[in-house]
Amino acid sequence: MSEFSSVLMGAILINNVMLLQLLGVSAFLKIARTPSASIGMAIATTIAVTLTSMVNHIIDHWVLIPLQLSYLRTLTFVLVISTLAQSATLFVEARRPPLYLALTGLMPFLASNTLILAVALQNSAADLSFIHSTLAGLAAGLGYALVLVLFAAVCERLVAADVPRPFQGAAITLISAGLMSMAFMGLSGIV
Amino acid sequence: MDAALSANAYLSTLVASLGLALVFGGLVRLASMLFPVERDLRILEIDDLLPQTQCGQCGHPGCRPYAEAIADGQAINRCPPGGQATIDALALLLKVTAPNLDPEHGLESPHIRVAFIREDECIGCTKCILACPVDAIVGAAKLMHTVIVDECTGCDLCVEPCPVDCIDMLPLARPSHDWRGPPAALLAQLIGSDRDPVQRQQEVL
Repeated sequence: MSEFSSVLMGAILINNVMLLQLLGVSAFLKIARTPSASIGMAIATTIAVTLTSMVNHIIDHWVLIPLQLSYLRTLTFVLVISTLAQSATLFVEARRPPLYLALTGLMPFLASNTLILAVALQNSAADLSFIHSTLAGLAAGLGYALVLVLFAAVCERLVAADVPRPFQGAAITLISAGLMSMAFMGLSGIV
Repeated sequence: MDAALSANAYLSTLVASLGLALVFGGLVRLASMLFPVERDLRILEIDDLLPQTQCGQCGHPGCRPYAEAIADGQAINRCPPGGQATIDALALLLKVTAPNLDPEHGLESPHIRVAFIREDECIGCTKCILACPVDAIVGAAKLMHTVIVDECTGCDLCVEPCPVDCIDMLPLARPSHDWRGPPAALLAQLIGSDRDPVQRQQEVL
């Protein structure tokens, strides 16, 4: 149990997918606009990355490896991810219309998030067990979610801040993300 | 042996990719059947009938929100730019008797009107550009602005913010896409060097 919690903490704080492995950055910068929308996307991304880790592990070990088709991994994982993301979009649109309206234009970033594919590929490259793959997916998702919500709050403050003209817009966003990344680097050594 | 193996590999690749594609395609189809999205087509039909001036005179931020409100049962006589023609069309679509235009929201103008900026008075404050719902005003800060006649919907929203009152709403007698220009004979005389040299010499003398 303590091993699991240390894996979880390590992936969330020390080896954060977004800030230190730099995965899913473009989607991240698009999503993190307001805290309310980013919480919805954070939950959606966490669920998506956990689910796809599980499904991809099953497909990898039951279909691709027995048939010696591991070179089809990337293609298959993309297929799984887009299927799940599309189903999730349909579910949210049909069952939670207010949430769908709040996330208008953001749902495509679920399918095109590099993080989800990268975690699945890393899991299969490291040859993790089913439980470990699920845990790795969950930890990566939680780490992404944490940074997403924190960064959305920073962005909300940036709107009101008096930023010098050369730094306005994308520049200050990237600088803030870099500073946050450095802050997270300081957490290495906790576990 | 080798050939048999590679043929086998091709076959398994083909079967596996086809199988995976079918399974996941089927899953998406299943999801779309499990979670049917009810899009209200009536809203789109109502929105098509509205004039798309985005003027907000009906009390809604634009034509689409007003279309949603109508689908929810709000009165259909609140659109002055559309006038009686729009009300009649909406009444036909919704199968109700057509009411008269509600004067509380504005009066119908007999002409198509467009905004006109008196350019020598314009101070370049960009306030009308921000107010325009259809981006029909071009210009930049401290530079003169002007209205793209073809894009202007005549919604009046730019008149009020102008600090120097240099915007007029003028009737558009003939839509600009219908403009013919001067007759060809006159056009040939318009530029000096196009004219008959002999005639031109006489004019100069």
